Amino acid sequence: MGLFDQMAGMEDILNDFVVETTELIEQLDEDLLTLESGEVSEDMVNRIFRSFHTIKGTSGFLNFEACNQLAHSAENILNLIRTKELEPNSKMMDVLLETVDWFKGFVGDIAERVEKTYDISELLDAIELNSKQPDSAKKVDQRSERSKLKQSTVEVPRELVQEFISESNEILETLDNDLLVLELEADDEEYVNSLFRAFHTLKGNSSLMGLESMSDVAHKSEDLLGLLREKKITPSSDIVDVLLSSVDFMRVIVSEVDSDEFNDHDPSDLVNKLLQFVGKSPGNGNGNGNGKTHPSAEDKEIKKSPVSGSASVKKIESTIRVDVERLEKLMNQAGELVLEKNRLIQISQLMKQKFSGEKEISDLDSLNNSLGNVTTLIQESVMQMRMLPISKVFRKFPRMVRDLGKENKKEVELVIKGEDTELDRSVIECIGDPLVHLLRNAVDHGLEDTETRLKLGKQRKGVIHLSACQKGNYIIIELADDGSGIDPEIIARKAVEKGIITEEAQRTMSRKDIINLIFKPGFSTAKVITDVSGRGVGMDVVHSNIAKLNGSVEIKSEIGRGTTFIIKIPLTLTIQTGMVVRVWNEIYIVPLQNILETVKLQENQIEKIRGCEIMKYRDFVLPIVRMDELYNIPHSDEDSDQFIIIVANEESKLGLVVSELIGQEETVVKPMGEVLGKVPGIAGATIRGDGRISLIVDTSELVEGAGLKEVA
Amino acid sequence: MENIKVLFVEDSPTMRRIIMNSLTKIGFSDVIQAEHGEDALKKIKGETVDLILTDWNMPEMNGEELVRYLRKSEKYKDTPIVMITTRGMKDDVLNAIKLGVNGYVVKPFTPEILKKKLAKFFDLYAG
Repeated sequence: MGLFDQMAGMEDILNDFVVETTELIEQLDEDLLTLESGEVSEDMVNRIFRSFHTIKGTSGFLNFEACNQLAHSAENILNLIRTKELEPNSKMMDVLLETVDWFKGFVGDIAERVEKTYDISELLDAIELNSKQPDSAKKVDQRSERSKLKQSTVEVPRELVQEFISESNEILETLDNDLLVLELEADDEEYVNSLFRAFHTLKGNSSLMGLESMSDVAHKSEDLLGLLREKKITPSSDIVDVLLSSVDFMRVIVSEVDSDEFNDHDPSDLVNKLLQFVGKSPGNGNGNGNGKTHPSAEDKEIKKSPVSGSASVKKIESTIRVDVERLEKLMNQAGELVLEKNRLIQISQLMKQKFSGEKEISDLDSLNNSLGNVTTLIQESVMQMRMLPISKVFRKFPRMVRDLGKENKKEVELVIKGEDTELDRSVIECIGDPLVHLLRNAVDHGLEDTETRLKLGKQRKGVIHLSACQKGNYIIIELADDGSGIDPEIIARKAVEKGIITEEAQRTMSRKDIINLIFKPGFSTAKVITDVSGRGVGMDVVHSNIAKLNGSVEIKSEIGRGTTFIIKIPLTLTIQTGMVVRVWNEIYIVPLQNILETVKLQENQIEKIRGCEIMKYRDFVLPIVRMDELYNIPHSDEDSDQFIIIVANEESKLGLVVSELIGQEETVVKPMGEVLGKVPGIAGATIRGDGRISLIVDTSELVEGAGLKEVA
Repeated sequence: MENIKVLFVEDSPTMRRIIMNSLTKIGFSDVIQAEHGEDALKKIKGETVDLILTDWNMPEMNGEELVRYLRKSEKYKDTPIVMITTRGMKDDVLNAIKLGVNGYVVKPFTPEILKKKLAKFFDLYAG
């Protein structure tokens, strides 16, 4: 029976495990890097400790042994760092990060319910190696001290060994669970007797197996218990401590006894400790003769931990997890609600015309108003629920940049700002890949190697700034490196070589347009194709992914100074307020957020320059696009009055010629579907109040397109 | 067992679900769950719980701080508190006992082990 068969009915727990551990892993990645950079704060070390601790705990319950062991070892290191017995160093971080990577793979396997056998011995050894204190004067952990001499073990039949292991483990388990209440239960004779018996059994069994060290430890522990039983000494935490060390010691032996190269462990340290108590009877310094177990002097020793909540007052999380599918459903239903509301408003308009003046009509009106308000609130709440901080994406990057830097032998520092900026879930999902490509490019092509940087008088470390912020209805993500910048001449030459543009076209292109050529499919300027930056598909993907989000990418680059990518993405994709316009007999929607203003068209103001229509508007020249020409809309005869809608992106403007402005409407943007994919100039479709489908104009694409036409 | 109100404090959602399964199996139906000490104190305001089961390593307010706080209060100075811990956390357990924790249970544990531990305080095997 496989692992997952045994776990039938535990789907929820496994899913919890995957979700929680993934979050912990992300946090660990981030925290370990911070730790490596030298920012050692108590809070952070505690958090890393807790993360490993939690993974250890949950994996223990789920019988994920390899995972449990690794987490336990990692936790040990962190505990030593926490108690300042160990100083974090970069080698140690490498091993811990490797462990975290292992967890990543493991969680992936669990998520897909893949059952594997894992060999973690190398990793465990590496962790062990790093948890050795360099200063041998510090107290030595008895468990890890392997004695060199290989003791001769008596040949014992295999079944007996197995029996010994399972029985010992059982006893050790209960001892672990029972020993600590010794102080409280010292008066309970039966309780102390059972502890005594446990050690006694262990002594006998181990002696039978020829495990002298274990037998020795069990024997001395038994002696100690004997004194406790006869009330010759009173239990103290020191005694409990040393007995627990015995249990730990024996556990190590039991776990290793079956392996081929069994090395016995040196028990002398432990035995000496045990003898200290046995020899000193009766009384152990703080015994006060009446068997009371809580000497008050010890209470003062309790480590005072800093009161939480002073330095980092975080708001208490009271959250629940909701399946994405349910949220998605709610979102769609909220969208439908908007559509139905639009229908109701339309019908109400008709009713008004028919029965104007009736009392019920004004009631209906106010009802419509309040319904509209509630709908808007529901919509906003659902949108809010879908918002995630961009740190979800960003937090992977420090680790990635660190590794990329190491691979490329470049020193790179990544500075992140605005990770709290919130984005819609769907946007978060799409933005990761493009940013990965851009970061890889920045490290691979953008930044110079250390030698070159020093020669150029730049600081050793290349710096990449990654930031996010909200501006109006847009999220702006900026990624800037201080590397060599993009040389338009090289780009132009490459583009001509690769046949992406003709030499003639190149001469008329602006610097900006030439740089934008790097987004063309098949363009890659890397001298050597590396593992890191791929094969010229990266930038293409960046552009198309961001276009999918109705966003735009802008490049600012200065030779020798570096390159900045500015990504602009609309805050929400699904519900927008749109201006409903008529173009001859067809209805289109223009997203309101992109409209600057509307003016009446006066044909005599329009001029033609090089085949393009333009109009003087205020102080500058406005390219004009006639929507009927753009979308091949047949003219009907009667219209003559026309309007210009002025739409803009952050740097250019454009005038769209339409026949009539109908009004504003809440629109639920629906994609055009798999078959059509992205249609040029169209952002999507929506169902209007009267049930008809209208197309939504992709203004940012039109503005960009017009910009290019302008110079062509 | 229905009339025993349990406070169960644990920061890991996975662990919460696992241990809740155990508690349900044992027969506890009245359980207040909390994510950490502060959350626990908030949630037991106005309630009286008969048994407290708490993890030790938690963010915000850890087990140590929670137990210290509870033991100072008149209402909870004698309420049984059982600590949830893992192997290797010896110092924590010793500390907890000094602070007045009545018992502890080492992760991972089966519902039966937990039941045995809790049977010290309530008659869980009757009926």
